[in-house]
Amino acid sequence: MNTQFTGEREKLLHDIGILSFVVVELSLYLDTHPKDQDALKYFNHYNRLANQAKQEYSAKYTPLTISCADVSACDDWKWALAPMPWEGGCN
Amino acid sequence: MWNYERRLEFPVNIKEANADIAQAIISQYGGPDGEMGASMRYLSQRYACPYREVSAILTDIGVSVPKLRIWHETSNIKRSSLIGSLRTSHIKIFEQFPLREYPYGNHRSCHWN
Amino acid sequence: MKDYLYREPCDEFPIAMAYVPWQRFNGICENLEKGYCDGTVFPELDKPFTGRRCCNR
Repeated sequence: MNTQFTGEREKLLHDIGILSFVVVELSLYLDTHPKDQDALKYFNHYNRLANQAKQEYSAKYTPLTISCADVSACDDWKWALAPMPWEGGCN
Repeated sequence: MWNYERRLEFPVNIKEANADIAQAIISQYGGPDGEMGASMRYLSQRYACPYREVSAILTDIGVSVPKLRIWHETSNIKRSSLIGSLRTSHIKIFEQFPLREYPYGNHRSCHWN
Repeated sequence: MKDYLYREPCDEFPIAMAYVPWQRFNGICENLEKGYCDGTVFPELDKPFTGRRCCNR
């Protein structure tokens, strides 16, 4: 995998990708093992990290979800104006 | 209800167009054995399911299918194209899908440049 | 890479029944980047398909 990042934005997005992937994997495991305490601890830890990273990205660059869209500090609706993943910029 | 997250699940960097591979991938989505049909079946089974854990796993697997990548052709030839990752059931399907390296199988494995 | 033989782990199980052993949680892989590339963060689930059957990486 290419680990050359052109900037902090790409690096942050890459980290969000990895953390979200871990969260998805752990959630699939927890679906069938709902009382596994170790797995719950791991899930809490990575879920918190992933949410923090997403909030940080949404504050600095473009919002990743509608709930992260903070319009108090800007004049336009970034959620609609940001590029879609298939146009580039969301790698 | 589902949320849309405006990012790709895995990073992608396409160097060269390859319509044949794109057609192979798109054929995996539709039809009786396609992933979208499987996703709908997973999601439909939840309602009759007596066990919460099973409903949960059916939801998570059914939702993971729209996370598979959709190819979008750019207007420039040989320009790199990217994959869009969706969590809703709205998917745009295009005729030609440029790609060089491509992910295969389900969302659990992929190769990229 | 270990390739499981057709009969190897199945001698002690009765015939005509399907088994899916439960996964146990032994932590996730140390290198998350590698897990991201491999497609799973559980090392015991890292079984690439070789064309006919899966094997441990």
